[in-house]
Amino acid sequence: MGYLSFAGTILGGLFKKPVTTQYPLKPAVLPEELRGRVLIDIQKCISCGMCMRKCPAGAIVVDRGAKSWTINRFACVQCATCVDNCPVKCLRMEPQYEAPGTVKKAETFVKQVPPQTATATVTLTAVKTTAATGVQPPQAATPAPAAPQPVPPADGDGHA
Amino acid sequence: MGKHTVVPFGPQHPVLPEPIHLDLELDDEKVVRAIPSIGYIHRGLEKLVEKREFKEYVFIAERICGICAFGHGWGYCKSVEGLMNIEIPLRAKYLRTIWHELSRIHSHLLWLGLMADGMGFESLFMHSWRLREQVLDIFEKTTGGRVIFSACKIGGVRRDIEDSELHGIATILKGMRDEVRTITDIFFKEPTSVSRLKDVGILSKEAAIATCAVGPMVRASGIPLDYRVADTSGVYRELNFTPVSTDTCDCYGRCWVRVQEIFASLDMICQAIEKIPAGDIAVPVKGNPNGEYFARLEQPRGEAFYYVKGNNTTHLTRFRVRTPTNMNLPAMVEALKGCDYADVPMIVLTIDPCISCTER
Repeated sequence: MGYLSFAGTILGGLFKKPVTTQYPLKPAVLPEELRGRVLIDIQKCISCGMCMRKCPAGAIVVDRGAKSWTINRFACVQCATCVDNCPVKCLRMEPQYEAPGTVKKAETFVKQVPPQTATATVTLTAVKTTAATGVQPPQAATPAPAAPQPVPPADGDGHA
Repeated sequence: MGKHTVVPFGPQHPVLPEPIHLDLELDDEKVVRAIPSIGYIHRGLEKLVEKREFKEYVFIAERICGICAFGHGWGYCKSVEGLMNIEIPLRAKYLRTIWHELSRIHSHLLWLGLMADGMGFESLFMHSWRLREQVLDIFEKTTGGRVIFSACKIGGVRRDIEDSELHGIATILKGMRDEVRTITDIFFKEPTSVSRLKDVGILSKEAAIATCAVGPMVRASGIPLDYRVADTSGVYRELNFTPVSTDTCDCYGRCWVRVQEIFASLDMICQAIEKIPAGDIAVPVKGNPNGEYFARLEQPRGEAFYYVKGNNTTHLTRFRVRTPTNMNLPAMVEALKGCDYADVPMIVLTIDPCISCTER
């Protein structure tokens, strides 16, 4: 037992680098495996709702009709259950924590519906024509007609 | 007969990491009686078992405590697996044991830091937590979380650790050993530390038995009571492990037991890494739990009980935890009798109080 038993540790500390980092001036070093926050590749999502049903915190809402995926990041507990249960693997955990916020709002992702087949065909035809002749065809200057629109009734009302 | 005074201690007090209230009855400076009261952080986690499916509840069970989070998740899974007669793969048992013993190291290093902080030894407090940070980094790399791991599930574990990573962990832990020795020796060599711990808060062997103390509290009173020697849900029987105990019966002994347990856990993890077999990490779980079951697990603070009751639906009807701090409160009251008022913080800290566990 001695009064200077801690002296070696103190003196040794004078010649060692600090074990702390100057956060936030220097970003924290986070491992790849860190469960920081959930990210979604919404274009791959099939709106099956498995993540919503399995989420223990009830933080995810999937709307099949609107093809949207909403997460309340303030309710999410970063357990990665949604990632494990996603059948198309469109969810993943990003090794970065969610930034703090002043309002507890949910984040919504909406799947972009691809253009319909008829439109795509017309556009492709136009591109091919351009490439073959070098002349800009007149229909390429104007946007191709979108999906066939329903003909409005004569009386302007939606009812038959 | 001195002057009789009643002093309120807590629930907000500099040495208390969590809120507990004590009414200390003093005769001059000597404590003659202590009356504890809890109820400041009840969260109703047991009731939530009726609201969540039994597979999802493991995420709530491990939020009972931030320090022994993995242990509570394991204890809950163990009780449900026992109820459903699920035998988990051997690799999962090894992984659970490794993570649980890492939790024990991190819990004891945290406690040593709080102990040093309680006696005003701030440098020692920071060095203890510096060592603990290495364990937290291992958790972060292997489970993805620093405090809440979400690694345990019914039927096994959710994540595997690659063998190369396991050997990396063994190297880190072997490197930690000397550093832990250097820091923890200060508790037993430095006169300022020894004078605060030696012959303070005496809990005799008879009193420890009578008050049903558990964990390092009872092991420091000369009773080598450790559930790990009988635990078959982990792989403790395949590892070279002997319970640590001493018969000094005071705060010094409780500190010594915890420090020795750090070294025992370091050894056990290295042994487990050498012996871990290849194979699956989980088995599929079919059906719903039906009936009653209780399981035991040696947490860093002592033995914990888990009781579950199911009715063949996806929701359990009852979940009950008996935490080690709950069992150590009567022992703490016994140890407080006759002590100096200035020693109360040390005695309260040496039971390693976790009031969040106790109230859930």
